[in-house]
Amino acid sequence: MRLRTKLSLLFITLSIIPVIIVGFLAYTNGRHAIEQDIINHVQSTTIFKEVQLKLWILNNTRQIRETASRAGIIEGTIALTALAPDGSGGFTEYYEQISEHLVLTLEEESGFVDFSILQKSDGKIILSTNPSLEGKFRENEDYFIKGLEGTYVDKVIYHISHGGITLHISTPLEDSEGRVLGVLSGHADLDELSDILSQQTGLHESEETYLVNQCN
Amino acid sequence: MSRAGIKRDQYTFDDIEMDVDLFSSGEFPTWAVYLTGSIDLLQQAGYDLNIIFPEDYGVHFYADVLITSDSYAALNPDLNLRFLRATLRGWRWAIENTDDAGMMALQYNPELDGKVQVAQLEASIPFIHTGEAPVGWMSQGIWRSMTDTLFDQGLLSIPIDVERVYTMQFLNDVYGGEP
Repeated sequence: MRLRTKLSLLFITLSIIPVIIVGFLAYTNGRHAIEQDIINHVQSTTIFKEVQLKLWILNNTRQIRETASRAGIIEGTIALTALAPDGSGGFTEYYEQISEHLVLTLEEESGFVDFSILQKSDGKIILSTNPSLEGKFRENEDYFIKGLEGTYVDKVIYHISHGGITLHISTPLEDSEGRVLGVLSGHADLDELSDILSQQTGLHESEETYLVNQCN
Repeated sequence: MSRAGIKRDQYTFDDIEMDVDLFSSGEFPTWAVYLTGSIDLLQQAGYDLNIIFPEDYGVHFYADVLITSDSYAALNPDLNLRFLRATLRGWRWAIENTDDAGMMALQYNPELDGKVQVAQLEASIPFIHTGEAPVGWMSQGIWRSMTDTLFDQGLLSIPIDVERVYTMQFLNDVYGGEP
């Protein structure tokens, strides 16, 4: 090979190699920057939604506790659990009084789609703003068992007889001396949860958020 | 029935033919069916059904469980664990691939209707995977409810210590403890 050719090849090689190296470094740096940007974005979105979710849960637990502590609800529950549900002895009056109270709460405040009062002895739903639930038993449900002991936020689960995903928040109904009368449970409005999850930051064209439970 | 306040002397037992046409024809106003079976067919046929769930009235049963003897479990713990793990992986795969899993039934019985098999599997998913616990998980409350019901109905002559009839040993090994 002639010297001229050799020199040409050498110069070409010497000029290409730096371009390749610089190009590779620029590519890897760019890729890393984009990845880091996405990770930062996911982390900040997670923190943002976590705060919103905690606030939502906090508001709902506060609301159900406050509702369960109202004198009208407690007095009515004492009467309902003592009277026969055949309409005698003033059962119907107390039933309607509590129902109206709870329906008004649902209308005035967001957070829940229905409220139910569960009998202490067996988890029977003795009153619900969703009348189709009345007479059904929830004695095995965590939100009844743990709701007898304190305010409880259940898992988001598929409930067969509800025919969909549910999240129940419950709290004990107690008389003035702290005796547990039953459980007030609320079926949280999951549309509000969906709204929190579907809010987008607008920083990226495609953003989807998934809420994944711990066990599956 | 007793949980709903209906006494034993308020109804009678009848032996009837297991033919859902007796219900759809109106001859019988109520009918016992599997949610994963005839319900879907009746709804597709246009019937507006009022479904009564036994679970709403305190009847909690595990329909399908894996069983082995104490001695076999003690002698073959690793085989039991691997069998359970493979079974649970199979269920997870079936949930994630309902079309393929439903059609697999035809390999064992070519006369089955593939669409019905897929629909029945899809209807089964809420029972297998509620989000409450990992697939295959069991709760003592359900087991206690089952044994209590069997005892109340006279199918068990004596009350049973529920912890003696099932074990969480292998599920705990698969999932690494309670979720």
